[in-house]
Amino acid sequence: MSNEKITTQMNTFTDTLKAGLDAGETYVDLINQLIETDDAEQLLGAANKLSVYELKNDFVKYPFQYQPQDYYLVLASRLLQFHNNESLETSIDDAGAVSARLNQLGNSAKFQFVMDKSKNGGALFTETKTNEALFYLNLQKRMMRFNNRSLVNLFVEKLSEVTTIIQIQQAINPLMTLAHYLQTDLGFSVDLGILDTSNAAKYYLLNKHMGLEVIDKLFVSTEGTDYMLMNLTNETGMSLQMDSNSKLTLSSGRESWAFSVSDEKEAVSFFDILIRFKLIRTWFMDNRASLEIKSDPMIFKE
Amino acid sequence: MTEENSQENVIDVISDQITIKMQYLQNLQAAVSNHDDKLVYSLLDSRRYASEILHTENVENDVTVASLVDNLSDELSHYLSANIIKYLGHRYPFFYYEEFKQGHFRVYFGNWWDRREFGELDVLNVRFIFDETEYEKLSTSFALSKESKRYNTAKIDQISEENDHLQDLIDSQATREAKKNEIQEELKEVNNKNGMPWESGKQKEARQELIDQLSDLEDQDDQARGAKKQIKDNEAKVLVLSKENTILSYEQKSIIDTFKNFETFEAANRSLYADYLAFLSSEKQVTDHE
Repeated sequence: MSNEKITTQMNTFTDTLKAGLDAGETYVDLINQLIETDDAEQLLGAANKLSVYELKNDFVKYPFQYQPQDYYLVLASRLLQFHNNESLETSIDDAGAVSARLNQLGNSAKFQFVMDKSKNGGALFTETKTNEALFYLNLQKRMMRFNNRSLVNLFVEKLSEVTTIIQIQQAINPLMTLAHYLQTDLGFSVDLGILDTSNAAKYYLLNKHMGLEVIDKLFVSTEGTDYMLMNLTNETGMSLQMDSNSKLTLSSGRESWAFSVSDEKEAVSFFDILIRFKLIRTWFMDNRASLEIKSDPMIFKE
Repeated sequence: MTEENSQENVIDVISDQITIKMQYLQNLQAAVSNHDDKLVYSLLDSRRYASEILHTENVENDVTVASLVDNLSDELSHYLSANIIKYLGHRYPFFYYEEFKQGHFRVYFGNWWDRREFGELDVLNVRFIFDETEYEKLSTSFALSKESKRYNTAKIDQISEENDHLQDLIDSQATREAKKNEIQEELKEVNNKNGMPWESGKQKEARQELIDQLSDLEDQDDQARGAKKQIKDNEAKVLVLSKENTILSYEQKSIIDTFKNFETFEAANRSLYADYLAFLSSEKQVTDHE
């Protein structure tokens, strides 16, 4: 073997080794940035890079690395911490898997991000026992989309037996707070779905051909209660005064039926109505095939 | 020729009558342009006005005068409707009106999901003309509610029972299959038995018995086949009946909220003309005062 050859080979080796060490150093820097920065953009930048970071090298082996979804969770919990909200408690198990609890729910629910395998990229904030994906987050495209079907499955159906209404509402709060700061601090486009409290929010039904007998059933179930299901005057649909403050409407637009909720302070969402009023909850769950609320169809395929 | 029929006399009569008519029309014209609805009502039906408002009997309705504006009744009704509907809005907050042609008003009970058309409002005579069938339903359900019963409950119960029976037929399919197999086995046995000649009568009887049982079970199978659809149809029927119950309960609730009970509601309907004209007078006094 000539000297030239070994020189070339050693050069290649050291270059590759150096690249591996550099990659490790960058990885360390990015992780430090993720956990230390006080700046939202810096935080997002680190999480975004880490989530696609390749730490592979022929000569340098790093036996432990976090999973891409872990950075999403750290981002979410840290962004909340920036605003003094400690609701999303992250923890790491012996195998190194990162998960989080919403402290309002105690141990009845555990969350992790799950990478979206579709071409959209991004990750889904998922409850691990029930596999309900509550929202979708894409750091690259700066978007957040809530999943209405899963919100109902988890909070209205599954957790309602082990938690109180107040606990559920309190558990939803940090998620909405997160959505708020993703929007204001980082310019995310956010679809809150049934959590949207604005009066202008329309919660569209997935089923475009809901039969009027579904409303008939609600009408019948108000008999003997203080509720009176009213007819809309200028369009097809119904309205129901839920309490002195909030009113629920279901109306037929040009393309599809949609719920809306109006209240003076714009503080009540369709989700709140489902959680708080048994009359609506029972009717909604009994007629879910007709009443299911649509989520962003680009993300949540039905 | 008597004096009364003399030419001059007839001219006087005509002249007097025309003056009366002109005066009537002038009065009405003035009343309408001043929006003095009370005066308009008194001119349109002086006898009713005298009896119900002035409490003087035996005033002849001058039909010949009032009939002068017969061909304007739609316009007059339309014109008078604005105020009376405003007034009724307070007294009967649960009624809604639709002018389906000029001066003619349909009355709807409530603006809730699936309300009923309840009759018409006769503006010129200040009264409701309720649809008899619909009114009867309401009055019956008020009577029933005293026994804590509802209008369609008996019918709903009957259909629900039928559905229970149909469901049983569907659920017992497997039991029936087993029973049919059993009977067929027995039938084979009976057929294969070479009994004594004197036993053949009994054997025939036993055979017939089994065949009857089998055809009975097959009838039930037939019923069970259509049962799913029948149950669905029945559920739709129950929904319609329940809806009617709900509508009636909303109506009762509205009447109780406003009138305390059905009797007071009926009394208010009877005295509507007097009450409305009294209201118009009191309102007029207030405006005159201002």
